[in-house]
Amino acid sequence: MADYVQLRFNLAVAPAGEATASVSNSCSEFRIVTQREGVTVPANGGTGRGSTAAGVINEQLVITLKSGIKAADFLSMLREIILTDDAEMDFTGTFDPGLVSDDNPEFSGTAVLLNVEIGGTVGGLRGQTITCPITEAGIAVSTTP
Amino acid sequence: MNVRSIREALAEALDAEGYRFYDTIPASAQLPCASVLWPETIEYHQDAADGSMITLTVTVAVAVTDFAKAQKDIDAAISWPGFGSQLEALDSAAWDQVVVTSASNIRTMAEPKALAADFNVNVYAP
Repeated sequence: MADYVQLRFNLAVAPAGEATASVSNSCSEFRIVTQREGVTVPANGGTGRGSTAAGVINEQLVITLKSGIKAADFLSMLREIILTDDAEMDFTGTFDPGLVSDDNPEFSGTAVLLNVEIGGTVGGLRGQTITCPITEAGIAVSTTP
Repeated sequence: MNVRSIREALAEALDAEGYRFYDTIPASAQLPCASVLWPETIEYHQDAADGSMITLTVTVAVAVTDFAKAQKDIDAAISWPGFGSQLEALDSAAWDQVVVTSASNIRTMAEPKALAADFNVNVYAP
């Protein structure tokens, strides 16, 4: 059976160096983005054609969250993280809820939290989408539970 | 998310607020009363843990034995704070939050002889 539709996922987050805790019930989007910068290669006399080569790797963690403002809510943790010196948070997650396996790899890493918003529009959900660059260590992928 | 638990928790809470609870308002209802109808919509997959948003209608009816009093009662119910704010203050393990988005369909009923109003409610449930 195909599984194209993103439904439940597991995502756990914590200030860097601490044990992660699940925030799945606060999140509606979990995405890992890997990008390469394009390096322009000028045309040469032989071909007369310019080209683009793959440059440095940039990775990002994207989360859309809804959250209350109580002490135990995800937003309180994010506020705590962004006010630390490095504003780094550890995360680990799978894109399906089952056990970690070849078909359900676990992605983990450390992300830099650059923006946290509190509140929302009257009548709307409190929450936001945050895009966090991954630190130099990059994303680790595990297929063993 | 368990619809039955949500409806039962709402019924229990409304009963505690002094409203006789019915699944649907019968002809011989004891007034004042409230009914929680079946959800109009249930939006699943609101978060990664399968949270849901349930949209439903809560109908409140007050007796019209004294029409002036009935008008005051229904005016009080649809005011804010009023019945809507009472609903939003309800706490239960069955939901995370109750939000009353509007009141509508304020009307007279023949059986039971009552004034009634519908409260349109979003229930956010884990």
